[in-house]
Amino acid sequence: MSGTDGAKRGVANPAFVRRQVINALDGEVMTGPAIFRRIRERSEEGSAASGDSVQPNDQSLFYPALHSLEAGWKLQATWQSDASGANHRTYRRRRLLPRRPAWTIRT
Amino acid sequence: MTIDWLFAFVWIGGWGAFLIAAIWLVRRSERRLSVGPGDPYAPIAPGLDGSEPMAAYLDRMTGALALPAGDVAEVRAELIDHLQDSTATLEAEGFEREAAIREALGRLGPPAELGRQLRAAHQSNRRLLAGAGGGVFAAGGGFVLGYLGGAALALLLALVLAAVAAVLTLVGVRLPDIINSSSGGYAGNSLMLSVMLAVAAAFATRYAVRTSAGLSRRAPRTVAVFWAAAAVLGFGWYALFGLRGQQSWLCVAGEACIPLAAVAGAFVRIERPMPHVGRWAIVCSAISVVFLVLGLAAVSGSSVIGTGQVHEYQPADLHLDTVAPAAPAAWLPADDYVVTGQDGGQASATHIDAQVISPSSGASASLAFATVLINWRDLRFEAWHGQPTWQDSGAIGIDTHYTSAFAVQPAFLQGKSLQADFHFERMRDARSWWVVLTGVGPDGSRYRLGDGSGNWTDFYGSAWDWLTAPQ
Repeated sequence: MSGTDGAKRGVANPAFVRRQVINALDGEVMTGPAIFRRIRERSEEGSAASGDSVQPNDQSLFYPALHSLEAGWKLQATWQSDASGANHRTYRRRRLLPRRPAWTIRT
Repeated sequence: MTIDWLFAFVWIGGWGAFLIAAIWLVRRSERRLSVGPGDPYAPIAPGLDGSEPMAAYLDRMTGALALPAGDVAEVRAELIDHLQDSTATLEAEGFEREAAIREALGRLGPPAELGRQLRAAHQSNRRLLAGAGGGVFAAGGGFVLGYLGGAALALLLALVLAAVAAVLTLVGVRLPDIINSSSGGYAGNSLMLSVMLAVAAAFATRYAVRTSAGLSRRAPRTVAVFWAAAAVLGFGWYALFGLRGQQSWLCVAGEACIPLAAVAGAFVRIERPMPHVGRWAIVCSAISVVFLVLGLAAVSGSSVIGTGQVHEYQPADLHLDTVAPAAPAAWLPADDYVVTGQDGGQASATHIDAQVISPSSGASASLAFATVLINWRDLRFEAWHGQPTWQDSGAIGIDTHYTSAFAVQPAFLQGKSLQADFHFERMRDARSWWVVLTGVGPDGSRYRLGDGSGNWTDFYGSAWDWLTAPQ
């Protein structure tokens, strides 16, 4: 698991991975592999723009980060079935309010 | 009698809400501890060709995971889902099947390290605090539930034993009275209380362990060690020092079972779900109680305590000369006699006082003892073991099995009477006692002043008081 900041330091950083996961979810309900794909895509886009080398295949911190965020009440995990009946664990960001109040949105 | 309905409503409603909340918390928390057939992740299995490396990887990862069974199943199922997706993606990129699996596993890192990091992610400090707080709450609910269940169990046991004893007595079997006897002391109430508290303690620790294990995502046996230690300290202290009442060796043994039951509740089959008490179990229990009560009523003509015959005692039966010979009448006030009285509860000191009664007036003579004291010295009250009465609820005279008093207190003149206090409730073998006033007469010999008085006092105190009490 890596990204621009993490790649610059050359070490996988758990806090950085958690931030990437939060950013990748962005209000959607996604499975673990889908979240990872999105993070990798964003990392590749970011590294292409900045010219940094990335390590998109390191997944060792990805699931610990997901589960840590769930334990910290940042994410909510549920099991959902797809069309074929297979069960997948999905994640979404946990919010106190279902939608951000309008007065907090700056235009 | 008036009922404060608002208070009753709040009291019952509050306790009811507390119990419901505790049960809900346990049920919700313990879902994590096992994999049920209804869980969405239960049926997931690798199901892939060449899944052996995956299974071996997951097994090594699981070995370092050390989470409750439900979490382990979830993590495994999620990683299988991830590996299936990764393998499919790699195959689409041109990898061979086996190489794709190896690559997918390699990207997850060493299995033991992954398991360790997942465990650290799950077992956060926040969840540990939640587990501790939830465990305390659930322990409170479990204690109340266990106390109610223990009360029902104790009553049921008492009914069964009474029914069996009644039937055996009907057919002529003579049973020893272990509840209320001179050898065992009074044990009925304390034994029933011990049963109730032991069940309550077991429920409390079991509720606490399963709740805190589920909330903190730790294996039940890991959590059980801490709860067992807390239970031994808490319930052990209560059983040894806090639980006060009538004591005997049987009671102390029953009270020692309270912390043991708590430890057993924390460890025995702790991975298994809480037993579910269904409606049929309640119905069957209610029917059993009704039948037992009817059975008891049918055989209630028999007595398991004694024969029902009242004994009449003669002065010679009191064996008062065992203490000392009666004082010569010449050395006592003319026509008056000494009466020894007693006062005090079963849980406090017994107050003994001796007064001189004048038969002519029927009232105690205020100056009589001053007259007596002129000729007498070393006046004291001697407590002897008394002969139990036929129903073990009092004493009559001296038990000739003993040759000396088991307690002696000097008699102090206070007002009209000679007085002393005895702590029979703190003496293990006092039980049936008889107190006599004695003194050394003008000839230098000790004599008995009056016939004395007796009663029955059970040991009252904590288990520690019993264990450290003088014989």
